[in-house]
Amino acid sequence: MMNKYSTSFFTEPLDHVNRGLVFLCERGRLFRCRRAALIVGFLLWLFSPSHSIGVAQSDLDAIKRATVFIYQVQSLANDLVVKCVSTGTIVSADGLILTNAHSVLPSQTCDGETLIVSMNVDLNEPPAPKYRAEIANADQGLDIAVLRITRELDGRLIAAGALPVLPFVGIGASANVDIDDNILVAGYRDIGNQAVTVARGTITAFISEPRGGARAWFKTRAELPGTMAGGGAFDSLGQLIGIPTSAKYGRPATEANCRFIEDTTGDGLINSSDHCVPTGDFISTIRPIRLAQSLIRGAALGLGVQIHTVPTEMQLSTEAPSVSRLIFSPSVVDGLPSTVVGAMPANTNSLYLFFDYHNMSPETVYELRVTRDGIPDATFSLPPVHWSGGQNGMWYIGSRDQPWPNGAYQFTLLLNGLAAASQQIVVGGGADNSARFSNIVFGLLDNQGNLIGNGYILPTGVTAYARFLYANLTAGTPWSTIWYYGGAEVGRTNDIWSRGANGSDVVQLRPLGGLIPGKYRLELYLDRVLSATSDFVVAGGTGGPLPAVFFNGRYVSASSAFEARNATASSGITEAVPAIFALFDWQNIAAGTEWTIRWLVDDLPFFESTYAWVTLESGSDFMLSVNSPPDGKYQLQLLVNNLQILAIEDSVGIGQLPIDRLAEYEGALLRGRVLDAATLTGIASVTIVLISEDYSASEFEWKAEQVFATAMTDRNGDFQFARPLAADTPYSVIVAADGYLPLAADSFQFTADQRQVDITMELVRGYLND
Amino acid sequence: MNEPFQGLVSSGDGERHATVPVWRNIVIQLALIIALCLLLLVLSEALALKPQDDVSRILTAVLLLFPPAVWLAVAVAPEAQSASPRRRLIGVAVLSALSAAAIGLPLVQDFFRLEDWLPLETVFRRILGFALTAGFVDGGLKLLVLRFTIYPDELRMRSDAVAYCLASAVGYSFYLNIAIVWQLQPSLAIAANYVLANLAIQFASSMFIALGLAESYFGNAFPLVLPANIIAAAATTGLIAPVFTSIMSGPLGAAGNDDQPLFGILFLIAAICLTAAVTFFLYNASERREREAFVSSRDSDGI
Amino acid sequence: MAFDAGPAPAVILTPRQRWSMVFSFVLIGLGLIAGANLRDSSLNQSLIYSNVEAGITARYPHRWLLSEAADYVFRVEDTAQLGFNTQIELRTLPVGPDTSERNLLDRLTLRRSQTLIDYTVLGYDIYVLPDDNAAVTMSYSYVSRDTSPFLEGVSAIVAGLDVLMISRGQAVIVSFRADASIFQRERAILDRFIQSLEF
Repeated sequence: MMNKYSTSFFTEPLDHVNRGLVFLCERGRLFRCRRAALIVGFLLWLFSPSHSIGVAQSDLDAIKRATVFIYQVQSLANDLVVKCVSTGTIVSADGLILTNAHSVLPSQTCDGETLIVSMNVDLNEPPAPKYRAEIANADQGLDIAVLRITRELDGRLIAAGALPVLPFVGIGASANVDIDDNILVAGYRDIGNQAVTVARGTITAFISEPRGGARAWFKTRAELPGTMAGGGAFDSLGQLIGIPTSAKYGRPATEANCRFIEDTTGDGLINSSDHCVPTGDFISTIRPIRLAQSLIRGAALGLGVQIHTVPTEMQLSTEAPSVSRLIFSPSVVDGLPSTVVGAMPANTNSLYLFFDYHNMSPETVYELRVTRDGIPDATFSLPPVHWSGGQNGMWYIGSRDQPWPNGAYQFTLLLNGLAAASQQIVVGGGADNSARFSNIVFGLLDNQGNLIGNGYILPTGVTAYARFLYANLTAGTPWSTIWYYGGAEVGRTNDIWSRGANGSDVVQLRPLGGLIPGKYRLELYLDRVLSATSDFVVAGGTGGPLPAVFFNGRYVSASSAFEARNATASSGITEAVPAIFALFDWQNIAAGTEWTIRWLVDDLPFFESTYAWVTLESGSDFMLSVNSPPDGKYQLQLLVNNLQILAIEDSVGIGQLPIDRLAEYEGALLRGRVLDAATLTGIASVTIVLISEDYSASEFEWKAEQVFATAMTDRNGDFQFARPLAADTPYSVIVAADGYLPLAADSFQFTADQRQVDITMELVRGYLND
Repeated sequence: MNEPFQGLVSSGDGERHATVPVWRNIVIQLALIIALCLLLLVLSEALALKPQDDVSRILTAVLLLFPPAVWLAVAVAPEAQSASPRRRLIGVAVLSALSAAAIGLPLVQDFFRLEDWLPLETVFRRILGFALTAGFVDGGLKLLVLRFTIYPDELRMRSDAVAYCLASAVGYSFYLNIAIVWQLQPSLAIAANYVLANLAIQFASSMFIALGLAESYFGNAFPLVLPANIIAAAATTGLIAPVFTSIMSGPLGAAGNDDQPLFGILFLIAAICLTAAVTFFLYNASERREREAFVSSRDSDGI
Repeated sequence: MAFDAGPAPAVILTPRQRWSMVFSFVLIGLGLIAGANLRDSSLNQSLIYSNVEAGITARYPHRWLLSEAADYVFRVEDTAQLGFNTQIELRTLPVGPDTSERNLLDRLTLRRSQTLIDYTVLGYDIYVLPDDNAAVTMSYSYVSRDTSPFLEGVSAIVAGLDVLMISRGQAVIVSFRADASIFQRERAILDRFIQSLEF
């Protein structure tokens, strides 16, 4: 299928071939020849290595250079034993690396404590270990981790600013990705034994989940071995749009995805008694980069959020994870099923599987296998990935805007490799005109009898109301409502339908003692068949359109948490402070209620995490802090059921983030080789001085302030400037080495389209033997 | 070329030269050496032939041996047929080479450490630096060798000074060439350049020394004439070496730079031709003056 | 006209001819002396560095790259050097009444051991300053490596010498570093630098 990248139909050399053929044909005035030329050109394009995506070679090289290999190792005596491996991508010049969390965070499978980063010295050779890294930010559920290079390979700390500017990739817009878009995936096909490779593929589907929304996952048909997990998926502009992600089970299932690479027992043999490094299965899912951006931002700014009010985390259940109540819905409304269906008509483009989950944790590996008429359907299946939701609740997985071919579908959910539940649905047949309920929303009634509220969170009170739509109903049909609180039935009505065929109606729950805080559910049945269901939360007190769950939010600046509790609220912190503290009061929140902390700086989130409420039901001075905040405008948002309940804002310093020069680096990467003109061999340790655009070579007075950058040649005479050269900027260059005639040049400038420039300089000895 | 004071003697087999003609031989030698260097340059640069290492080493050895071989064939061998042979040519060449090895090169490299400071200096200081160091070291050593081997006993006519100075140049440059090839192992094109450069420098320097010696000895010139020629010899060294290396180094641009061996060799050819022409002109003028003085004194003596 | 070939009779040089030779060799000698002078003037060319704030003036080698930073007052390095760039760094540290010279040197050692590869103190000695006062020196070595992970940089063994001078409640530390193989040869540069140092 031709796509939007078809403008790069021919790669450059093939284009020349093709043009040459066309030219010959024109000269010979042979009509058929011209057609043949086009066919030949097409065939050449077809079999060319980069026909499918118009990424320039320089961008490819840049991607490869920014792709690193990561070992998670464990110190044993004087040895480092490899525990897990993954690919990573450098996303900032100062050494932030994006990768999968499961291979770098300590876990049962990957129990190493040190991360070694291997880089590509030569793009045609396997990477070489260069640095050690630490986890700067991670989300185990999303399976995304951001690492920061902090130490030399030998363990020495890298002083601030001492790390050379590393090649990094630009962050793309994963929201702009479409089905059938071509992508590149960079990574390593083996455990450090092969050079970095770039696989080509297409986006075949989007998978929806509550965490990540409609595009929680990209599906691809690129052939990606497990060691490429954590690498980068790139668009045609060479920008990072996703992270190939897969989960490894606690114990590798087969030798195919586990490698014995070293003698960890010290018995002189490498056999099954040694530790094997899990490589994982083939990957077909990609996490959109959008989900990693707050993690990257938080890591880049060094902003870590600390929660001072304890406890914050629920104790993980010791019971096995499970799923139940598998239902299908054609659409999702605010994370909940719009209705419940047992079959879908032909030309279905949207289908979701909803289910309740219990005792889940980020270590849980779950998988959805979909078969159509008994044949595995790779498009709608989700390979094993880590659980990204909470411990208990309702979840969905599905897709929209993609055709579901007719057939009998079987959805099977697997938890930690074991089938947990399955459900079937048939797609096909005529339009669905059956009676149904749908679109349940919750609220309170105003004086005029209108439902008010936000739909899914109610304050504590006397009565909860639910409005729903009905369609195609006939009078006399039995229907019923069942209300649940915390999983237990608290109310039920059974009735005979006596209203019209189509319209909306309201039902209510008035429990004895009123609505107490917690999680509620309403199920609507038609003729004993579940037709609609929805959940809501009761929390807080009455306080307007939204319940007053969190209130009295304020920022304080203090040197410690103790001091912060007694400090007065600030309105603009003008000086640098060791930490800013955010405090708020809360009321009527039941244990287990999921709430979300989202923290933004300059309107961009740098922290977002969802927790189950575990502290007192009501209280004051819940405290969070951010250490060493740079200047900026900080906003803390607190959400329940994805609804923002409270937002507090304050500024630090000038109220704007400092400009990150490194992040804005664009331009030409200048590298090359310095040769001895006599021998044509590289000269080692030659310093190349790049003078800033404000000075010419003749004006250069050998002062560092006049220098834009320096580079030194390696043993082969190769050099590479750490800082990219700005486009259309006239730099000057001086190369002075003892024994050689100096070279100097002004107007050393490159255009914006020159991403990488390779030059060769030949130095002539400045003396004869005389 | 006009060979002043060139005479013929009669033998049983016919006529033969009383002395071997020097200037003509110089032209032949230089032409052959330049031709070989140009050939190697064209082969390796224009035709981009990259001989295997072994072949390259052989060709470099041929290149190194070619100047002394040509000199032996063109300048030394005919002396055996000469009625008045210059017997110490080989001795002068060998001693010059030995002096370069024992004194000249160590002095320039280890004492003056040109490598450490001269290449990064301005062009003027480089010219001055080369002249004051390498120029005087080379000139001084060659003069020393000539002084204690052929001066004044072997000087029978002006062309003897030229012939012996050429021998000194060939010997001295031969060692320098061996040293540079040994130390650098340069590519063939660059080796051709270096060989010709060393030869050009030593040839130019020696020709001025020859002029000075001839003028001092045969013309009984003012005592500062020989020192003036020594200065000229050092100055030519000072000029040729830095200008040659500068020309070899191509200008740097945004696309990098390349060396310019062709320009280098063309400069050397020009330098050799200019030096030969100037020194021959001065030599000829001196000789003419001496001949005229001789004729006028003979006329005045009534011979 | 024909010439006879045969051994030339012994020649007696005229005074002019003899003086020619004498003058020539004298000239050559003078030329070589001038060449040596030129070499020395080139190798010893220097520029003045002056920092009013720190109260420091010194002469540093011509064409060495000068940089100033928060960590040190100034640093000059020979970027034309092939291999590790020989460098002189000058930093000042406050000295308290209880601060000893060894305290200061130990502080440097502790800091460097965090970032320099195989940093080893080789010993302490005395350096006689131009005004005949004695300064404490600390010699050390470490391994320097090009930091770019994408190049095949070869490590160099660096020898260093810190000269610690205390004056008016301020410690001035001159750190001289050079490739260990040429350290002794280059040390003359340090001597010249300290000769010119005023603080």
